[in-house]
Amino acid sequence: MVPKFLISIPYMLRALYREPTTAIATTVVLGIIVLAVLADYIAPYSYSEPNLWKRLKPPSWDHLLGTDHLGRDILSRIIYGTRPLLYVITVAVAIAASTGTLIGLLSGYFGGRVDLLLSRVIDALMSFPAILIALAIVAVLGTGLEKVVIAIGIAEASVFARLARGLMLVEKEQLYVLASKAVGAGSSRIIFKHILPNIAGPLMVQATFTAAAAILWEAALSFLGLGAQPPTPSWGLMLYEAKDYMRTAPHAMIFPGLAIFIVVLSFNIVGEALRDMMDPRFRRVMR
Amino acid sequence: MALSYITYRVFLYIPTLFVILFIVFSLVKLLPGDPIRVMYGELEPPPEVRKALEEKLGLDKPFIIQFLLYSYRIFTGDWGKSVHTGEPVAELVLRRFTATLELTIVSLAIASIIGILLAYIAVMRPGSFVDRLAGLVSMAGYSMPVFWWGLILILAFSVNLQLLPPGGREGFESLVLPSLTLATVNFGLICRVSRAAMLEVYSQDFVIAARARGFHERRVVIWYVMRNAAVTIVTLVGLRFGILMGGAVITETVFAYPGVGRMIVEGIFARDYPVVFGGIVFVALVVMTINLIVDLAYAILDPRARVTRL
Repeated sequence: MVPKFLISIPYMLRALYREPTTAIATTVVLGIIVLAVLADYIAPYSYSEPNLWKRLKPPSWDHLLGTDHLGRDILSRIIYGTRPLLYVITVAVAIAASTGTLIGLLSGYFGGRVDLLLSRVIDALMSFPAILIALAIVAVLGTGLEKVVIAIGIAEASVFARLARGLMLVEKEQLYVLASKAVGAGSSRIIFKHILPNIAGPLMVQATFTAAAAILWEAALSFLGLGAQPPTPSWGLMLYEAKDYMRTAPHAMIFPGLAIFIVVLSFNIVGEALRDMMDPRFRRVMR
Repeated sequence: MALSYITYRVFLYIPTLFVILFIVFSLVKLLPGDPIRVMYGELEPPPEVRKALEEKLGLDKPFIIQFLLYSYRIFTGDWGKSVHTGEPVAELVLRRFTATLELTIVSLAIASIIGILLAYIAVMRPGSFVDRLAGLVSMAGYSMPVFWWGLILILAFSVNLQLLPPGGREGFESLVLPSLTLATVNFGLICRVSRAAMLEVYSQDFVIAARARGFHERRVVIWYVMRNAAVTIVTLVGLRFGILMGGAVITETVFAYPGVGRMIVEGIFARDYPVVFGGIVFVALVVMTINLIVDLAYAILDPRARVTRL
């Protein structure tokens, strides 16, 4: 069975392109994938090759966004930066969505003691500011992009758990669930085959917001020097490297940050638009 | 009824507290490296010394007993000592937290003023261009990378205009830029929450009645809508205190502001784990306690909440 939300993708895209704001945001989001795939053809320079003769040059026709402290072209690094970005989004969201949704579904479906215990875990995780969980995990695992991505995934899982639990509580009262119980379907079949596809929409919307959060957290941790390591063209790391030259070469700091801002904003706009398109009965359950 | 809800909430608080401690304790246990070797200068101590140390630290006991001992120490205020300065972690955290609290409160005040004002403008004409613009501006606020925005403000006000200090904590001037930075990422949240809460009240009969009496729209919104939405706004903002604290961690690092967030980050670099995990436990406890207080206050002020939130 193909989930409902997959069939509706062309419809969603058409709706997103109906308004200028969401159209631009959608283009940015889709553009990241295009840039990441075609970076080798689009980027004018290499992202890692230093050129010490051209250190910290302001924007010019040769280097549209200027160069950084090693003389690398900032535009090219931003374009190549969509690759670590895409990696962060997919892995962090996958971890957060799968673990969180699983906990939420089980908690909501079985109720009783299972729910009481799992809800405490969700509550506890939600009391931590996400950045603190991420910092704690980085302290244990060590620094690096892979570890940061795991940390973000775990830190954001509680959001999915709470959402999935709320949706499950509504959905398990539906007639079709009763019907599948009546024909003798097992719990796992009911949860994953029948209920999950029906609540996938709101979870997908949450994934869009989580992608935005993941980008911000990765950038923040890389900015603190805990995330991506050189010469990875992570935008947060670019900011970290550029902040020491802020007085003499502010452009090296301004553009990567602008890129983060635009992409995060676009994800949030798309998420918001998708949420408005959703069945109104889900709107209440979501934040 | 009120009492039973309050007991219910307080009873939920205690297990959640232990879950938090358990998570942190497990993470501490997962830390790479053998604590006894660390104490012995990265060398393997003689077996009898190792055994004595293990007994002294309780490392020979089962995991769950160690966890209970850890919880006991946390509740009795024995949070360990900083590996580098030897200062008791509990004192260090408290001192650093005062700075964080100062920053959070000032920025929350700024964010509330901007956020509620923006929500007020939006609610005056729901669905209009102004409303959508307010929505976009607040979304831009919380899409902003805090650290970058902080650097931009430093560039503008410290480097170029030389009006304000770029960091540190000396007097009121040094608080301006960090709290403005933090307010920028938080006013959006407050604006949306306020707008939603005000719109909920907006369609109620007494608001229509007030309008029917011929009051000016501004008066209707301020006297009838805002006053009734206020409790909800305060509650929803209070329940998001954790998110506000998260922004503070990063802001402090950008401005070299001596708060608890910067302490944690510095602790990670220095591998000063008692400080790192002491700070994390403390912030989590503060956030949890504030959430509990806000929740209880809401239940007392608005009896409807007791039923719907169970």
